[in-house]
Amino acid sequence: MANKPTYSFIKKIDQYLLKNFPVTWSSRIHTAGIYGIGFSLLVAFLSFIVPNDPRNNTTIYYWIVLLAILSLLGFIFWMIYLLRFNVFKRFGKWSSMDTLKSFIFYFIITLIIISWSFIPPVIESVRANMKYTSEELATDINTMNIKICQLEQDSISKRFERDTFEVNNYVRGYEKKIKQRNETQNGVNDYSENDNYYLIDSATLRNKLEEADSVQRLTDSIYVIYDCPDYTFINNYSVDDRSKIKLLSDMDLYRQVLQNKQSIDKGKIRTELGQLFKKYSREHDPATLSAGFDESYNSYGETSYISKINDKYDLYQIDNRIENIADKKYRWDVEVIGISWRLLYYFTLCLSVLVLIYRHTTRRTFFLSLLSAVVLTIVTSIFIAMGHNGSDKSFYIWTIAYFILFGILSAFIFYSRNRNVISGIGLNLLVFMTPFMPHIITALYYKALHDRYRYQHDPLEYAKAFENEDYHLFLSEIGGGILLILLLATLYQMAYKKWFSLPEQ
Amino acid sequence: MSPVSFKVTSGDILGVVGENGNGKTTLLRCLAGQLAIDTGSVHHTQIKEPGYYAIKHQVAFIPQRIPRWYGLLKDNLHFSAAIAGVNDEENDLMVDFMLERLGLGAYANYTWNQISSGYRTRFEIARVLLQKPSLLILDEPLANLDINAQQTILTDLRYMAKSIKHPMGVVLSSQQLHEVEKIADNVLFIKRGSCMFQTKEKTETTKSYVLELETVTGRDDLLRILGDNNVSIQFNGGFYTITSASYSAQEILNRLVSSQVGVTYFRDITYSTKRFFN
Repeated sequence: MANKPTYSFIKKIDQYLLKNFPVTWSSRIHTAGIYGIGFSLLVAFLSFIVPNDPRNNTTIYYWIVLLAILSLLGFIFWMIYLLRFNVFKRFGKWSSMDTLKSFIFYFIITLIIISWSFIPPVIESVRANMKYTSEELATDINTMNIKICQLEQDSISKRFERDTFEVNNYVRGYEKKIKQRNETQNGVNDYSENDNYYLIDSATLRNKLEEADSVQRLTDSIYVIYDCPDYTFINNYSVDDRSKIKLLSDMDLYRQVLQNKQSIDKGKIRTELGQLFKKYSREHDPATLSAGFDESYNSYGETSYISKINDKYDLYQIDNRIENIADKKYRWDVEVIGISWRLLYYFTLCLSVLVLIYRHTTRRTFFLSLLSAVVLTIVTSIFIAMGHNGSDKSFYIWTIAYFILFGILSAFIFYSRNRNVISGIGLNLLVFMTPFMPHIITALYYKALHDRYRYQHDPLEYAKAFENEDYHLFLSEIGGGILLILLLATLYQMAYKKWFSLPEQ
Repeated sequence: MSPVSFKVTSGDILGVVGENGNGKTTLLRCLAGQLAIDTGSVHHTQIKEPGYYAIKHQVAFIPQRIPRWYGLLKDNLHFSAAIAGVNDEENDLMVDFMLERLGLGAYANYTWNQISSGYRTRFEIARVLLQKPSLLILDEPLANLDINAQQTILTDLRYMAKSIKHPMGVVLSSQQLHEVEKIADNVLFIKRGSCMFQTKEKTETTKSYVLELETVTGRDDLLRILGDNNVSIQFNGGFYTITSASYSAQEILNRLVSSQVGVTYFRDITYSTKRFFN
């Protein structure tokens, strides 16, 4: 009974659109939109109430698969309704904007249906963000690392790895060369026989100095670079990148805790560490610190202290829990969201263009177009594979050639006296390829530019030539969509109108 | 098809008759713009915008096998009116009017599976009429209708063609020769792709009189009664076709009646295309 007013409301909208806006009505945007968004809200609600601990491994892929299947069913259901009424194929009043309007409706409905699969991951992210802040994670990671270092300060290695580098601008990059103590230039012999000794150019040395934990300059051309041992038992780059509180580095931990031996209250630290471990453990995880400490850790070998400490505190589990939280929290961050958006956009775009083509062409021509696309893809792949220069460039050139060919075939529609299947296939494939063409042409341009600059060693000139590459490629993606919209409102709607209404052969 | 020339004006009904497989449907489909013609032309003088989309928007074609539709009958009618630009309250009025006119009121909320083939034909006529075509083409519309429905549809078509508000040309093909001839302003007889005869022109009518007769009297007796060398009698499975160069149909009937011949069926087909069926 509660649904009766809703149903009545939808029915009223349905009747209003049916009698006044048949193009809109026949796209089923009102029903597909209302039910699609309603289902999205239901999925969002369910995703919020189902038990989901951010520390656990994600089970979101099962949800995605389930919802992808439901999306497919929803899409098929919508297509069945689309088969029923078609203003265009019934030669009703069809204005120049109706083709574009229909496409926009198809795009919106497809987007709603496809977005179902994206809702659980988004909600999972929201829940992880609500439960843990980046700063909280960073603070906890730092605290845990400090406390572990404090507890283990007697057993962990404090020996820095070191390498010796001699600047020599006749070598490119660096070249390993172990020397004997007695062969040292300038009489300097302050390095071990077991250390690595490298000849290195000044540019590489500059980079190494920036990354070095500690440096000892022996002469103007010989440097000993020290590498701090690993003290970050728990680490997470994603948290470090996003948190306002930076994670402590190995060197920071060394300076804060290990450089000078501290007298500590082990019992208190152990309790505090235990509480933090509990925070990042699941309820049924074994109590990490319940076994108590064994003083025999002093005898741990230097080379294996990390793995032994990891085993002792079960730090792999803690690290894994934090990794799970970070994965969920940062799933939609700027760095990775481009992939998700593109996945959603291109999947929606392809499907909605296919629906548009299906609604503007005969069933036979539509399926022949699909078949032609598959056959041409196979044949072209074989040609590219057999060619000497099988590369992206070949693919781009073939694609542009096909686009021109389909354009020529489509142009025949305006001069034809009857409906030709070949022209129809040409038009269908031309429309399908249109949104991708600006991107392909831009990619080809940059590919050619890369080839031209292949032997250009001036880094400044190289950087200048490609400084806008990503931006231009991004613009061309947007341009593809805009181009399709413009052509649908003008040339393509005219071509479809002409082609579909022509007499049969 | 061989060359054929004719004109359909608003308010006219053109019947197209002929035996099966002789080109009636092909001719209708050419008229509707569904099939391309190799030579010659079809002029749609009322259509301002040239182009097949405009032609197909203005010319409604109802094929012999009516394509299946989905949803409720009434929704389909609302849709047809809406795509012709009939919106809102006018849409409701037009649909109700058409349901009433074609006797579909009781079936308004039925689906394709729930109505008979006769009502499907009526629905299809209602649907195309709501699109306000300037030319309505029907291929064998009477095939699925009972005798009463045939009369109703034909009478309605006559009224609709002559409508003052929205007159239109009607072209229909049928095997129901007499019914079509009754309402049509012109009838084309198509044989082997050629137009053999147009009733409007009556080119061959002066040569001989032709009538159909059903009687128990034998052929020889009939020849004796009519007693004319210019009379030929053919027996066509149940009735006689009498052709006479000298006697009109009325005179032949008078002679038969005065000779006490029992006549159960009599029809003058001198001006009917029926005379070409044999």
